[in-house]
Amino acid sequence: MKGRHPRRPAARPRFLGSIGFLILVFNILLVFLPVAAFYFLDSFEKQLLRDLERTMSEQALLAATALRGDAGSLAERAAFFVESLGRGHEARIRVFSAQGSVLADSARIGTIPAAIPAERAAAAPGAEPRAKSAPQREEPGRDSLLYRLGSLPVRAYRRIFRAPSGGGDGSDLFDRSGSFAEAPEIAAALAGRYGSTTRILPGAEGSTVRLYSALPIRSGGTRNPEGIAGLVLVSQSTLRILGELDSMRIDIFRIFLLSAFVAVILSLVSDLLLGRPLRALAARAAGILDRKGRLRGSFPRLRAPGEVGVLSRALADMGSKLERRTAFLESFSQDLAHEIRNPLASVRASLELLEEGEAEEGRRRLFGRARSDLERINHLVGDIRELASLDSEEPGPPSGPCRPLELARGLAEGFASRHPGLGLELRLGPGAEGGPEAAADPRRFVQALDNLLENAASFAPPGSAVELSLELAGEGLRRRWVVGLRDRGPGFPPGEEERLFERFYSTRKADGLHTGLGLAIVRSLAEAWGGSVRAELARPGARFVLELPCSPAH
Amino acid sequence: MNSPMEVLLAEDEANLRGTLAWAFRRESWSVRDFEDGLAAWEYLQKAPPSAEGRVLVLDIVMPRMDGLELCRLVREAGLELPLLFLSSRDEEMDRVLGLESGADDYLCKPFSVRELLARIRILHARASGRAPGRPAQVPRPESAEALRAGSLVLDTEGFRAWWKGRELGLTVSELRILACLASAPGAVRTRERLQKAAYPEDNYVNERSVDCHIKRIRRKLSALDPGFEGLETVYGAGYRLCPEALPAGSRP
Repeated sequence: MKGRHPRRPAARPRFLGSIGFLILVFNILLVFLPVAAFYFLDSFEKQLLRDLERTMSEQALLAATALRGDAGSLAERAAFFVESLGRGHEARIRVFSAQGSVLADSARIGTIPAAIPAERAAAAPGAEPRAKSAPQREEPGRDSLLYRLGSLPVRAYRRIFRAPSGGGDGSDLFDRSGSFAEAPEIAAALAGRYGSTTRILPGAEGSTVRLYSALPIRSGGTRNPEGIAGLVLVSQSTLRILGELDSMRIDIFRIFLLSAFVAVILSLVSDLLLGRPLRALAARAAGILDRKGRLRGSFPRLRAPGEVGVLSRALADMGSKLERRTAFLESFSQDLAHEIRNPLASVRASLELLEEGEAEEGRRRLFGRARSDLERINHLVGDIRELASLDSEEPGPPSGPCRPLELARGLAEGFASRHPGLGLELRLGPGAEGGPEAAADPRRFVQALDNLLENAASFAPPGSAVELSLELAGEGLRRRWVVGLRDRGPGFPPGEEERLFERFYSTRKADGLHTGLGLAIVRSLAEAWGGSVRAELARPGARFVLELPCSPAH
Repeated sequence: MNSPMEVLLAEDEANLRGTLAWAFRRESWSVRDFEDGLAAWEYLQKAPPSAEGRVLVLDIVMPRMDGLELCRLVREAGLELPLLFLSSRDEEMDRVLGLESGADDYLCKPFSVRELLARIRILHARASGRAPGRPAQVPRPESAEALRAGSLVLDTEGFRAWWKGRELGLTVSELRILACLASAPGAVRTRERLQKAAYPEDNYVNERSVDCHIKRIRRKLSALDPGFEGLETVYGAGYRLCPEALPAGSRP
């Protein structure tokens, strides 16, 4: 069976609908924000480095102050001082003579070289005592997959934006081919000021950053108290700080992973609570019409609280309204066919009999019947059109002011000529004379009133009178015209008050003229105006009450 | 001419009622017309059993008591008169002609008066033929009016049909359609032809009504013979009686 069904554009079941996907993305972004903020929180790192430098400069100041004076040579004092400090400091304190020879070095306690050329004092950065670089302990963290994963964005960022700015030339103080005094911090100290610098030293495990702070040592004594006898150089690796930051980053990355996991779970749950019912509703909506466009089945009424539940219930309501409407239309077309076929059958029967030849009297009667049947079909078609247009068209602007009393008087005049055997009494209630305009189209109002009048006249026994009453009721915005029409006919079966307004319903014997649509049209009109129409038994007879609001201009 | 006839007409449309009554009287039938089912029922309850054959022609949609209710009451009371429904709703046909409803025939408005008159005559004749003293009988093989196709025997004059010796309660339309098919077993008959056969006086009938009739003929045959599948639909062409599915009757 090739090409039996046009392939339906597939609504592929997806793991996450777009709502679920959005929720996931938002949740993840929410998790990312603080992490990203912290990752790039370099000010924190800078702050730590500044603190470190201040500590170092204070150490240098202390050392420089302690070494001041002229008791013994500077070298002795320096050696004693550094020896007294002992081991276990992170900072490396070196004392230089003004000429550049190392007088004491906290990294080399016990060996007090008299005057080692600066170039050889610390030939390699590796000479920095490993024991003092506590951060070495943290090193394994840097190698872990977790760290590398977590630091990926940071490393990429640094490579792209910060790599060129080394801040130093990659050598320790004494690796430089230049002279001792060319180092900026040394030069500053020799000039009697505080000097500091940062150097990045390439190492086996990547570069390490070192801070250098230098302060002059005044000669003290009496001769030349401000003379510069030497200088104190404090240097320290930032490895510990950076290591701590790194371990903090790892912790944060762990928290991030956990949060991301939770975010995924929460997103899935949200998707389950939001996306899934919405998709179910969408699938239902897509399948609710069959291929002929007929309504099949209904929307589920989800118990879900909140918007999804509200939506499902709104859809279910809409579905059932549509269903009622469709059912109504289906039955309406059947009713219509039924209503038209009856007079049609009669016309056909009359014509067939005429065809076979009839006496004059019979001919006249059959022609008369055929004519009245055609008239009925004509009425029916007109009324149907009327009703359809009332249902589907937007009401246009009124064709003029609607003054119910004037219009009723006009209709009453015509009534006598159309129904010679019947009387019409016009009764005016409070406010009717000189009352306000009604919020209705005058042409339509006449039509509604005429339908009510004709309905009353068709039931009124000959010689009786139909009562037409007009009055105003209510106050303010609820002020309205009340138009009553009472006949003294047989009334209608109790309990049928509402059915009278149904299309094609009639308690009247089929008389070939009335279509059973007149009252339905009145109701459509009344509802379009925001008014109402109802029937009540008046014993004898029936009373119809049409209420319509007054025009807001009054 | 058959025995004298009384037609009871229950129809709420005054014009149609008048015209039909007129047409019936022209046939010299006695006519009683009622404007709803209740009036007809009241008359039937009071009326003495008539020596004339009675036929009830009734509309479905009527105030006070509709045609279906009247039909039910008539059958419950055991009245044997034939019932012919007039309806303005195509979709009622199935309901009216259900196996259990007891309706004998059905015409959809607007119908041809000639067709209606012909059917009333047929129903009347059939009812007379079934009257006490003339037991229902499968026509003898040699009788001229019998049409045979295997186990299917049709009496085209008396408008009755038998399958394997048991009577099928067919409406006039159904019998005419079956007769058209049985006159040439194996030959395909178009819907148009079957429609003409079913409504010889009427040229304005919904083509789908043939399908409805076929459906009901099948149902009635299956009710007697659950395995029956001898009435075939030939897609795009029409219907045919399948000779192989009609087990050998008494005639080759």
